[in-house]
Formats: sequence, structure tokens, C-alpha cells
Amino acid sequence: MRNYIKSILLLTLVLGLLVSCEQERLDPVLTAAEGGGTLNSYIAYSVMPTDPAGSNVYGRIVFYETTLNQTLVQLSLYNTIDGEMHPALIVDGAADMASTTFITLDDVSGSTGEFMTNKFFVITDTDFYDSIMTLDAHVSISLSPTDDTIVATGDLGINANPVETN
Amino acid sequence: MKKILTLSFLLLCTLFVAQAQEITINGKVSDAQGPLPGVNVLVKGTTKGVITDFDGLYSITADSDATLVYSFIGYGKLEIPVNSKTTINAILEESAQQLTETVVVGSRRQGRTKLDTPVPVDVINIAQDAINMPQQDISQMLAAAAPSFTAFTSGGGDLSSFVSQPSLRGLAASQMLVLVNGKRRHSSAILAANQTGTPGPGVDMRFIPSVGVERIEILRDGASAQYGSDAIAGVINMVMKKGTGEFTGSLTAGAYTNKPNYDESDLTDGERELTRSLDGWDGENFQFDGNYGIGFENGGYFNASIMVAQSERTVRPTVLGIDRAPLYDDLYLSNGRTTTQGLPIITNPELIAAQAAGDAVSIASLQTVRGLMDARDIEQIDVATYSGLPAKTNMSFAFNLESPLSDTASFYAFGDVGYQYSDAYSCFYRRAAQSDRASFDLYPNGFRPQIYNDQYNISLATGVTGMIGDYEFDLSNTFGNNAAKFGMFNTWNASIGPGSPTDMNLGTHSFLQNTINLDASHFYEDILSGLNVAFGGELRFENYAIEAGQEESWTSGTYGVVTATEDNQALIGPDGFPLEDLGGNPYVDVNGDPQILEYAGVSQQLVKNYALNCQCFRGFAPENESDSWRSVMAAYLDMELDVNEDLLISGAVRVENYSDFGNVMTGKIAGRYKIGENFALRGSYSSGFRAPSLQELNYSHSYTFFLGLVPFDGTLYPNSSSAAKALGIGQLTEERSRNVSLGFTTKIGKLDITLDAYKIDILDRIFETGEFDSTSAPVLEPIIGSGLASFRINGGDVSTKGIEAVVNYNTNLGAGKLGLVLAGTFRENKFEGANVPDINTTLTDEELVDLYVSRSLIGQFETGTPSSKVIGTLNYSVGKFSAMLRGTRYGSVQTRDSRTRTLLDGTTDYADQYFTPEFTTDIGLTYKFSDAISLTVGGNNIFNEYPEIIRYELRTFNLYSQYQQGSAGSYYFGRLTFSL
Repeated sequence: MRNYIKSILLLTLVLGLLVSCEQERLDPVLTAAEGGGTLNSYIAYSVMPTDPAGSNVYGRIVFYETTLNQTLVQLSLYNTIDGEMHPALIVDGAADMASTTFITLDDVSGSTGEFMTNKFFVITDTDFYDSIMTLDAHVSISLSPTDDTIVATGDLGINANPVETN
Repeated sequence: MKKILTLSFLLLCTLFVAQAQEITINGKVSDAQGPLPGVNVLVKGTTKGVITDFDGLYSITADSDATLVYSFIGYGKLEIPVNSKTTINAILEESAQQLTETVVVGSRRQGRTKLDTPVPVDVINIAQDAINMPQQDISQMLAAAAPSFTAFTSGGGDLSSFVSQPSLRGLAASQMLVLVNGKRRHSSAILAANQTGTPGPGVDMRFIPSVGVERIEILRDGASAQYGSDAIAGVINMVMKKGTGEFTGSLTAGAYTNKPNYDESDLTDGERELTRSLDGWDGENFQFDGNYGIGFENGGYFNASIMVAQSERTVRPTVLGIDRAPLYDDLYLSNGRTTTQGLPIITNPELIAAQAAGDAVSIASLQTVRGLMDARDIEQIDVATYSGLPAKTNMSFAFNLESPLSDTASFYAFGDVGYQYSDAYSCFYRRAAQSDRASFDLYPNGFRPQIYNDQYNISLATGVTGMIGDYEFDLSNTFGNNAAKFGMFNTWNASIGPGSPTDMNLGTHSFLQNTINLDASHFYEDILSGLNVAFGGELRFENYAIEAGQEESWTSGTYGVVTATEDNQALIGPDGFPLEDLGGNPYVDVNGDPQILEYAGVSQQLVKNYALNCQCFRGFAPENESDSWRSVMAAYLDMELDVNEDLLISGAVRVENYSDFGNVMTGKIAGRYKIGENFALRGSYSSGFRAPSLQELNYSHSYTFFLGLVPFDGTLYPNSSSAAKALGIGQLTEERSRNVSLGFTTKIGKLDITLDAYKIDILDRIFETGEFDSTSAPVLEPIIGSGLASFRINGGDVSTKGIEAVVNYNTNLGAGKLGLVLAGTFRENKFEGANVPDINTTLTDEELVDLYVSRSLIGQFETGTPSSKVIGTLNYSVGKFSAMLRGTRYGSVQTRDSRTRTLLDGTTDYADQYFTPEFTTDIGLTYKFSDAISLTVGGNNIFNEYPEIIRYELRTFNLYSQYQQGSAGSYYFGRLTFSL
């Protein structure tokens, strides 16, 4: 009697072990291009008004590094002119020295103070982010596409200390 | 799989060879017209027996001086001494006296047939019918065979998919008593939803291997006075196999065709465009069953069964239009999301790449939902809410043992131990657009949390039967325990950030029941035509416990909160702009400047209102924990008097005492009057009750939501809580019932007919209220603050009435045997009215009644399940072939909405819906290659009939109605049955 019970229990146990493989679970859909996620590395510089008592356009320019080592540029300006588009450039040299355009950024929407078409401007040069601190350049914001009056500037790289970095 | 089979054969052959010591008798059983399959051949004085095959052949081992007993429905019993012969052929003669097999449920007196009892009893011969049935789970087998019985498996819904809730006569699973070998079976620990509206505990029959079951008796009548609580709608008694000397096993494999079948015009244009079929078989499953019994020299037996099964999930997605369920929102598409500290989250790296490439077309496309989905090769069906049958792995072992202790007493034991893993659908798809619970790092395109469950189940009954003086007695102890551990995967707790686990333990529920019974009976032959007196007592104790899950599953994290690190800290991000909420709205003061946190370490702001707790089901928290016991004492007296050969009167009275709510007394009277040999009238009146289960008394669960910085709970409170007391909701009491039934049985030639009408009134049925808040119930304000509270209540009176008819016809047709069964039930459920006590609310009477028992709950009870179900079954066997063909008609169903809403046509109304009747066809065909091996092929719902799809307004989780034939569609299977 005891042998029978043992045999049947053994059979049950063996069968159980043979089939006790875990059920295959449904996986979440993880498809996405590389380069996504939180941008934890950044260098932010102040953008100062050229006419503090007047238009007083000011804010920050932030350079973020993506996981693909691209650099995303974000401009955030206060007091921009609603309905206007402000051209934005990165220009060689310090702010008080007129020089050649290094990078033409997207236009800034006067309504939001941020880039008009996309939140970030993309710099594909994978060495750019690491070179920011040694750049001799500044950012320059013009009044409009037809009026190149500079309403705000901000020194970058060797010309200024970042206002915030991580 | 080969390993399994080989091992099974080897081990079981060992058992077989070890046992074969007696002489083997072979023979054939026939009647006047030819071979008789299905005849019971028993060794007299023992429980050892076999059943003849399709050719009427049998083989049995017995002592050389034994006597074989041949019996079959409709035929006279025949006894033949073995006298050392190894071949014995028997010829049975038809007999009008042998109408059918005897039943043991519903009567304490042995030897009554199902046409002889004063109350309706169906007998489902599982051992005989299983071979051709597509269903493998006992509850599904019963649902296929008996129209009064249903087994509801939810396609999704938190705890509800893990138990196939059995029910009788359209009432709840908890309003039906389940017995195994006449002893009370413990219920599941899980408080699962059922088709009648209010969650309740039910017996999980899946843990009992069907191969170990000889037959199932379904008593369709209230029997609380005989068996105690729960027996309102009726009683199911599973009679376990006693057969010995033969190993029988089967290996079944099957799958669902998964061919969606609905009228496309029921979909919106947007849905039609997106809905594609997940064509291809799904729900693939296999099951191995084995049964073997051995006889002891003293006449006892040990019969053991195992079941190992695995089934994959079925997927029946609900694909909504993109306008209704966009996968992404604008912030996601534009990379506009930020962390609590204002860091950007790149959610659309494809857009960055397109910008880098200067691809204007892609830049435009990738900022649309469809464009990004296309870029990621995602279709709406991939990210739709899924419903369907859960994936399951089941194992169980059961045994049934009896051994004589003396000439007048026997020891018996039976029980089972089992395990089940299942993962189910219970959550709406969490779209990436839902920023309060989205995580690009963990789930860039959203996620579908799934609940899973590990269950351990054990049951053991031991007892002694015998004679004390003139009285037969039965002293037994029955123990049962079910433990269910819940978990969730593909989830996270957004409020604690991306460090959250994605697979969480939600907590464990367990239910324990131990019942001690002493029953005694005596048949006084000389009182009129016989009086059976039975009496007994019962002691039962029960425990229900909830153990909390891991902290991350229920805690409210602070990942979305900024605490000032310096005085007068501006709430700005790295870009110098104000931090934004989940919708991209900046935190600014009245002047439009960034908000300031004044005090370092003290001032806080909830920047991101991330969803709390495990998605989508909050784990059971310490405040939900429970460990509750109760004891029950009962005594009963049951008498059956045969006044004369024609008139039978029976009566029973039972008193029970519950330690948690007091005494209940029930009674029953029933009678049967024969008119002639082949006609009998029968009827009964009884009172019954169902004690609130420990699960209902003690279950509580909360979900959490934020108001400002403060989390609040929506809680289903137990009735012993201070919230229930403050509101004036009392302790749950028993549901009481009154049952009346009247019917007749008749036999016309080979036609057996039973027809019974019944009415059941249930007073104080338990419902679940809607949610009270401190506005509707100011008295709750100190307890729930701005939270919400719901309760279980004895909310109202309900009734059900109906007619049930069963027609059986068995005959020889050609060289074969033909069996026809036509069974139908037609009923009407009615909510008689709410019982609203004087509770402390500011609601009007009308508002309170509506909140107390909602319109949708009432609708679910009254019309949510088919009001009629008709099953026609044809069995035919000839030579080596046997076949089963079954048609089932499910009556219409109507759902009622809980509130008015804006409908698709722009009007405002309730989104009620009528679902037309459905018809399904099952088939099973068996060919017997030899005495040892048979092959069965067949299918369930072979014409792939789906119920109608749910109307647009409510088509969110399930696509199809759940309450007719289910939404799995066609199922086909093959089965290899072998005997050694």
C-alpha cells in the first residue's frame, strides 16, 4: 500500500516538475529608436537682455547631451514679443564682439519664448557637448527676421560660467 | 512531453503488474439486441468494478469464488458466480423497475433513484461521458451538460479570472453548496466577481481532477435544512471513483481557432480601419489525466488520480479608434515632457533623428500618433486592452480510500492537493499618453499590467462509518484550505519613480475550513412502508486571512514632489522656466512668475501628480490585513416516511449557531406521490439561508488618489469598521430564502421525463454599495476626509422562479446504442426592492436607494444572465465508434448602465444593451483502436459563434458580452485515452 502511494506521489511530482516551466508572459511593446530617455547631463548659460529697461528679453540657453552623444539645444526666454519670430544664432567670440555665425539655431517663437518648430535644436556633432566649456562663442537673439537688432545675448564656454550644470 | 508519457507508462505499468494476482475474467455483456456498452460489472461485496466497452466486452480480476454483479440503467441486475471461470458472458433483460441509478444527495436514505426522489436531481456520469466531451474542467463539463448550472469565467477583472464561478438557477456561486462524497467542500479564498452582480466566494472545482470523479449529482432544490448554509439554489455532490484494478489515463491537447466573428457594422469607422485580427490559434492547452485504483484483500480500495494541465492565454482585444485611445499625447510627440526637477524626457527620439537628418516629411509625420506608431511598427491592436482566458498551469492529485476496520465499520479518507498558476487580464492598457502613469524608461509605448496568482489548495476528509446498534453512523473530519497569492507584472508604482519594481507581490488571501460531522440514521422497515430517521451534528471552524503585499505595491511615493533645499527657492527647471505639471502647465503665481517655496526642508510642491500604488491594482496594505475566525455548530433531524408504496413524505429541520452573528433555524418538507408505475408528482417547501462568508465580512481593499498633496483612499470597508458604524451600516447578516418547487417525473417507454417549477425568494441579499463621500455622508468626514467609502450590505430582496425540464431517451439503434437528452431551464430573476436602513446621509431617499443598490447591479441580477438555456445531447455508440453531439441555446441577455451618459448619436441616455440568443454546437468522436487505446477528436462551439459585441459607449475593456457562451470562439481538441 505504502509503495503504491509513494509511486503515485512520485509520478505526480515528476510530472509536475516536467511541466512546471513558467508560462510565457506577454511582453510590453518596447520598440523605440535609440536616444530617448531623461536628459540628465546639461550645461545652462544665462541669456541677458540688451535693453533691460525696455524689452528686457532674458532667459537661458541649455545644452543637453543625449545618450547618443548628440547635443540638444533649448532656448527659454522671457518677455519675447508675442506673434514675433526671433532669429537665434551661436556666434563666435564673446557677446560684446561681433563675429561670424557659428551655428544658426531655429527661430524663437515670441509667444512661447522657445524654439518655434521643435522644442530642441539638434547638433549632431558627437564631440560638440564635450567642447562647450571651451567654446569661444555667445548666443545672440535678434528682434525679428527683418530686424537684426539684438534683443538678448549670452556668453558661452570660456566667456561665461554656466548658470547651472549637471 | 514524450518523457511524461514514457514515465507515466513505466510507473503505472509497475503498479499494474504488482497488483495482478487474482484470476482475470473476460466476457461480453449483451441484451436481446446485441452488445451493451457501459454496463457496470462489480465484484459483489466489494467496490471493485469495471465498465463494458463499446463492444460490450469487459475484463476484471476477482477471486475465483467471487460473484460478479452486472447492472445498467433500464435493465434488471444480474449476478453470476465466477466459480473459477475465466470467461463469463452475460445477457441483461430490460426492466421497467430499473429506471436509473441511485442518488445520494438530497436524501439521507440510500437507494433512491433520480426519478424516485421528492426533489429534482440531475446525475452527470462524468466517468462515462468525459471521453467525448471537449470540456476538461468539471465546472465547464457541468455547464455543458446541465442547463441549470453555469460556470462563469471572467475575461478580466482584478481577482475575478482565477476562479470559474459555479452557480445554479441563476443565483450566485456562494448560494450553492458543493459536496465531495457528501462532505462540505471549502470555498476559494478569492472573492471573485460572478455573473449575478456581487462578488462572492465560490468553490473552485478545477482542483478536483475530473478523471477521479465517477459522477456528479446536482440537487436542484434548497437544502439548507439538510446541509446547512449556502444550499439556497441547490447542492452539487461529486462522487469520487472507487473503481479498481485498471489504470485509465488520457492526454488531451486543444486550441482555439481565434477567428473573430462579429458584424463589422457594429464598429465605428475608426475602429474598422484599425481592427485587424490576431489571427492564428491561441489558448493552446494540454492536459494529462490518470487514474488508478487498487483493491485491498479486506475489500477496501484506494483510488488515486492526477491531473497536470497547462493552457496558454487567449487574446480577445478591444481595439478602439485612435481618437478615443491615442497612444501618445502632444507632449510625448514633441519631446515636451519633463521630470519633477524639470529635466527633459526625450520620448520621441525618432523626431530628434529626423531633425538631425533634416527630413521635413518625417518631422511632420513623427509628430502625429499614427506617424510615430508607424515608425515603431506598432498597430493599435498591439497596444489595445486585452480580454480573454487566463494562462494557467494546473496540477492536482486526488485520492479516495476506504478500508474495513471490522465487520461493521470502515475507515475512509479522500482528498486532494493542488496547485494553480494563472495570469490574467485585469487592466486597461496604460497608454503612453497617460502621463501620470507613463514611464519612457520602463515602458516607452505604455504597458498592460497583468495580475497573476499562485494558488495552493488542499482538502482532506477522514472518517469512520459503521453500525452502532441499529443505527448507521458516519463520523468524519473534513479539512480544506485555499491560499491565493496575488502578484502583478508589467507594472510599476509611478509615485516612487523608475526605481519601482515592475513585478510586485500584491498580497495573499487564504481560507481554511474544518468540519466535523457526526451523522446517524436508521431505516424502520415496519413503520408503514418504511421510515428513515437521520440526525446529526456539525462543528465547523473557518479562518480567512489577508496578508499585505510588498510596500511598493500600496505605498504612495513622493517622486513627483519637490521639497525646497533653500529658502525662497523658485520652482524652475534647468531652462529657468517654471516647472510644469503633467499637462505641461507651469507653476506660476498670480503675476505669472515661478512659484516660490519659502522654507528649506519644509515647503513642498506636488509638481507631478504621478499615479499612486501598483498599476492597476493597489496591493493589499497593512490596513487591509485580516485574520478572522469563526465557529459554527449545527444539529439536524431528517426523516423520510414511505407512507405506502406511492406516497413519500420527508421533512428536515436544522439549527445552526454562528459565533459571529447568531442562530439560524431552517426547515424543509417534501413529498412524492406515484400515480401508477410510471408517473410521480413531487414537491417541496423549505427555508434556507446563506451565512455571509468570512471573505465578505472581512475583505477590504483601497485605491488611492491625490487631492493636492494629500493622498486619499477609496476604500471598500468591512462592516465592522468605524466608517460603517458611523454611517449606520450594521453587521452583515445571513441571506434567508424560501424555496417552493413542484414537478413530476414520468417514464413513457424508453422516455424519462422530469419537469419541475420552482420559486426562490431571497431576503436580505448581499450587495455592494456605490461610493459615499463626506458630502453625501458628512458623518464620514473625520474618517475618510475627502476619500470615498463603499460597503457590503444586506441590500435588498430578490426572487427567481422558473421551470426546468429534462427528457432522457435511451434505445438500441441498429447495432448501436443511442442516448438523447434534452434539458432546458426557463427562469425569471427579479429584484424585489432595496432594504435601506436609516443611515446618516444627506441624500434624498431616491438618491440613497440608487447609491445603495445601483441600477446596473439590479440589471445584472435580473437580466444579466440568460433567462433560458436549452441543451440537447445525442450520444451514439456502435462497434468501435462512439459520438457525442450537443447543441446549446443561450437565451438573451440585457445589461443596464449605471448612469446616463452621452451616447454615440449625441443623445444622453443609459447605454443599455440587448444581446440576442446564441446557439453553439459541440461534438466529440471516438474511435477505439484496441482495448487499451482510443482516440477522440472534437470541438466546442465548432461553428465559431461569438456573442454580440458590446456597444460603443461601454466597449472599453471587453469586446464581447461575457454572459452567454463566452468569448473564446471555436475550440478543437484531440484526446488519446488509454487503459491498462
